[in-house]
Amino acid sequence: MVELSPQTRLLLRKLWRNKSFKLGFPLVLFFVLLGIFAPILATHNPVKGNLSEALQPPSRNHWFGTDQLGRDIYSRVIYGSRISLIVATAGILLAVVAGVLYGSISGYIGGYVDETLMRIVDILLAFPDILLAILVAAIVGPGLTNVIIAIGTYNFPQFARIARGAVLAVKDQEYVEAAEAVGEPGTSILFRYILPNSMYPIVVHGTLRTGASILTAAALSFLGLGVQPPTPEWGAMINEAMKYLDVAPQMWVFPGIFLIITVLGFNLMGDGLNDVLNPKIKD
Amino acid sequence: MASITQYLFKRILFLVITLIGASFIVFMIIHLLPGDPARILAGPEATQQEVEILRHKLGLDKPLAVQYVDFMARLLHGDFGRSIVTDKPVGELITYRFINTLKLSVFGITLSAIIGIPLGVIAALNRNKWIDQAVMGFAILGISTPIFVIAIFLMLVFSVKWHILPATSVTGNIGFEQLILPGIALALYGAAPIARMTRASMLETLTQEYVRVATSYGIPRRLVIYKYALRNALIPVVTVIGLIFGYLLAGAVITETVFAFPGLGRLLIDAIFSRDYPVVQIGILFVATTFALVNTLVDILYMLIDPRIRVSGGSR
Repeated sequence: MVELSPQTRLLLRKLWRNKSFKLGFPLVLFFVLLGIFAPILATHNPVKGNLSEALQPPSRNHWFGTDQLGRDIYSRVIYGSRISLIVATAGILLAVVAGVLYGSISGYIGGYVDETLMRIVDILLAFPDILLAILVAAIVGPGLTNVIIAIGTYNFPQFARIARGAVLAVKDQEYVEAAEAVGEPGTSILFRYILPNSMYPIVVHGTLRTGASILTAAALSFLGLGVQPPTPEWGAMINEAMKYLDVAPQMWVFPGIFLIITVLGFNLMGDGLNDVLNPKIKD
Repeated sequence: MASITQYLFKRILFLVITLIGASFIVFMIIHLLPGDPARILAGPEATQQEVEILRHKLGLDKPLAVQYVDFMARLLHGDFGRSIVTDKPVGELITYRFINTLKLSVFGITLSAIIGIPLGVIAALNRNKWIDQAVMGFAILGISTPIFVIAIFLMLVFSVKWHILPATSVTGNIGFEQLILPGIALALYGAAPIARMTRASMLETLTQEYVRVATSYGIPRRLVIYKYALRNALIPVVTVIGLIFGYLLAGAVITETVFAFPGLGRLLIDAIFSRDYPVVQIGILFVATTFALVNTLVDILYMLIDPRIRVSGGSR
């Protein structure tokens, strides 16, 4: 792992020369580090407040001020990055695993099975993202795990399409046929020869979707369908701020800024990866 | 000509399949919920006897397949069931809310296109100059900003601080004033992807052979750009606008919550909280159907203005 191949080095150099990536990557890194080191970085307990300090503007003790229950907004925002990090990565991972399995099996089998499985994907894609997320949330109810399920569900069709496209592109290549002729089992062919081909588009799409999923998760929580108070989630925090919009703008401004910067980071990084790896994300 | 009819047929067949699929998903909602569907639909205060009567009346004691056929038959007859909470017919509850949301989305997408397309063209014509970078920076910021943050910001500035526009809508019929702020919120959100797509498409068109040929013949560059290149560059943008319309329709759910706008989105969210599942089912079906219809229309329009797609006849 220490010795990088020339291709990898070239790729890294190209990435580092890409403006979007260079702007986005540090933002994402910043966000990930915030999430990991939240307990160290936070100055107060994120869920326990002091009512006598409620609705204070930013001060020396409370850098971002306090909310209606006197909780420290800075600490809540820091912990919020951890929640968003967990929700988005777990949701996208779920979508990638489910989508890749579904799509590659569909493409590998082909014929009627493929036709039927892909029609189902098309139907799911006929729902706007947030609507599908709301639908799932309505069925499974609110909560952290359920937001992850909602994100996984509405994202999986796109990964299924990408994986299927990759399978179709190489299915009839000679080296795959050769492996089949030698008697390699289908799963082994899939993982050794076919799926590595869909790596790049999945990484690019995964990065862009992580940003979008942080937005969706925040939107669900903002609507009250996602992560519930007192959990410090950015969308839920902004929802709580709705009653104090003009008296305590710190309650929505800080989670809002962190939300925008984080999603911006993922979108820039995804754009950069897309420029450099330049796969056609079409089927 | 045969290929056009064939394409139309395929596209409409796909629409029908999609709608059937969407109705099935919506139908399954009450069966996927934990608990007895009849009890859920009867509401928390119903007695066991009432639950049994309702179970029989709605045919919930029949096999699932039969229930689905019944559900579809009722839908096709325009019978959308009754609200658990208010006992009013769901169709009645939803229609005017849906029209409000539709108005808002149409207003939002129109504004999005008015803002997004010119910005995309300007960016493409000034490729890599500061103006291009500014527009693209604005666009990626727009894509990264949650619509509720935009909405809150607009509401604070224009209605709380400056008292120019109303924040809270009256219930019932809405006037143009109530559309402005949520419409602008939707437009800021929708303009960004339209600008990005317009720029990409315009850049691609400008490198095409015919543009260079036209320029080399001495046709003024302005004429080439606006008469020939722009027209072709806008073709893929049309598809994106169709998609974004769907997102605005769904994004309206969130915007409506901020502005207390009496649209379908808010009805849907309220219904989820009060466990009014018939309203949830039909509400989601309305949005999904509109989304599917718009995308079908856009695909057909796309095929009519771009002859190239007829040959391959593919979908999106």
